[in-house]
Amino acid sequence: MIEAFDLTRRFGTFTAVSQVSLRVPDGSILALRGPDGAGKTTTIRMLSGLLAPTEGNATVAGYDIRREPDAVRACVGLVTDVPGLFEQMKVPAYLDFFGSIYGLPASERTRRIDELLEFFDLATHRNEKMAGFSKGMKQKVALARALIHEPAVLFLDEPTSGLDPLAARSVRELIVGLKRSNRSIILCTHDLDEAERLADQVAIIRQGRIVALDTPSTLRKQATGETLVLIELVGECPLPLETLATIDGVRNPHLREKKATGSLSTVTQSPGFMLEYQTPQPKLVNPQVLSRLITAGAQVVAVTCETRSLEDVYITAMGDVGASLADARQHAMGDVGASLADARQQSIADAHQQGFSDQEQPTVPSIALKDN
Amino acid sequence: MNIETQSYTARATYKKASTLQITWLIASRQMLEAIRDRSTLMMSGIFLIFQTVLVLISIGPTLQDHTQAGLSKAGFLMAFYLLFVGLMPATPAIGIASGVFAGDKERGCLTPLLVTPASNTAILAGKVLGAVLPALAYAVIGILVYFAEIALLYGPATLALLPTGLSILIVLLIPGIVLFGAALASVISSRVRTFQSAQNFSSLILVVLWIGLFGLLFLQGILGLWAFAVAVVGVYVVAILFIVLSAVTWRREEVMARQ
Repeated sequence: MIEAFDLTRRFGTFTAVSQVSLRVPDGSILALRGPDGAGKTTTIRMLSGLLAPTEGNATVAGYDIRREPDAVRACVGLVTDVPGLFEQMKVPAYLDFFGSIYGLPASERTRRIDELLEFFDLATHRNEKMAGFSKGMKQKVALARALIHEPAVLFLDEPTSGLDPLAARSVRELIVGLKRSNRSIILCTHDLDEAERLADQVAIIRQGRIVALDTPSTLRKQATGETLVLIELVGECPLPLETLATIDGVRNPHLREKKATGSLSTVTQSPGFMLEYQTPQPKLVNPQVLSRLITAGAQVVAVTCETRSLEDVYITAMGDVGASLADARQHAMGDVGASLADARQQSIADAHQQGFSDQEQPTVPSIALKDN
Repeated sequence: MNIETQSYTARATYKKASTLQITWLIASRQMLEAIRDRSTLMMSGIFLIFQTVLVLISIGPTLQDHTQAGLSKAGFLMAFYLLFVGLMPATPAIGIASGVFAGDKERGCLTPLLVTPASNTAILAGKVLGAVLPALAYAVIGILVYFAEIALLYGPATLALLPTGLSILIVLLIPGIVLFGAALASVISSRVRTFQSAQNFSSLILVVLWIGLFGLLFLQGILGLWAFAVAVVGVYVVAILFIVLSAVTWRREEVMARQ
């Protein structure tokens, strides 16, 4: 269990983390998301007993981070984006070194090392120095190091960074396994898809403050409160949009022509229309709309409900920062940087203006969110 | 891997190794790294070759003069080289000490160590000890090789020309210098951001120390042997005080705050 209350950390006049409160129960994962420099690492360092908070407090695995930092460190495992290995050592010796520092008896160390080497597919490399390992293998060793003492709490900072898709998948499976074994995990990741798949809660941190914290589905709902419904029709819509708009709960109904698609090797679909509307209550509204359409003779091909993605929620949360990012980049990078920033700002603005209703979301340059 | 379901709602239990045990673990790993470092080994090898050349080209000719003054001059020269060969092999090891914190920090190796339950004292003491012991080993090897070279090239009796009092003080001084230099370099390394800065500061201090020591060696004829003896004791006292002070004041938090 991790519980933090108003954690604040200042470095001189600079406030890196401000009044961060969170709770990660046993057997759950909290994903921490924010741009570089937002305060994620400082938060993790405070929670892992490496940095004392300036204000506020937290308990980790039942220990107070201010009064019992040694105990906190003994009960946590930390993996950073840099594996940080002593590369002239071989994996078993390296793990044995950390196992010894954690006070594990020799027999237990041997057992854990064998298990971890087996699990991470490193058993065949046990007699090799780590200097020759790939980034993925080094990251696996870092994970093994964090797990050697079977910690109650894990802090994972970009644990799948640099891993090949298969290795990343096995690490994600491991994280889920660790969660099921009742551990509390804080996961820092830039991969929102990973956050959504693994985390029970997502916290978005901006300029040292948590600006959003909830389950992924609630965050998405809170962002709009509405679901976008797309009904694919063969031919034209038999009902006028004004009639559909009279149904309680239907917002902004509109039609979009669906052009013929296909290629030489596939059957060409006939052209039709896509009816789109937004609703806060899809379970109540959709059956009514469909009933009216079918009664009027519409041929319905498919019905799709879309809620906003976490990416959209994140971009909304970062909205204010976007402007300052653009300004900073304009100063720092000159014309090229400015036009990139402008493009990003424009993309965000467009996305907001369209209420994310357009399926073809504007492309945001990936460089934009990673800079700070 | 078997992942056992456990309840962590209450306080998690943990085991803790003793501070001494952790200190030795960190020190021994640090020593292994130092010994495995090829550049250090190469530098030490070059110094050994360099000192052999020195013995051949400068001590040999002075031994040709069999007068009392000539033999005394040869004895002083041998003592001078004794200090030189004691300090030279220790230099790259002191360089390694510069990297014990700053170098590890740059490579990202420090955070995993700092996040363990090891106490601040255990980490600092282990790192300093791990830097001091290889430096000391290099210095001892350098001195033994120097004595062996003189004995083999000019006969064991030549060693008797070494001024006894001064030679003993020099042999006593070398571990003190190594302790002081490596400890100082380790502590500087713990308080700067980069390995480069640590090396720059350590080298500067080392150069000043060398000048002071060689100056004392030359002046001992005027000041007397006691001045050199005071310097030896002073180096030990300062080194020990310095280490104790560092152990008391060093905090992992400062290291993390600087990252």
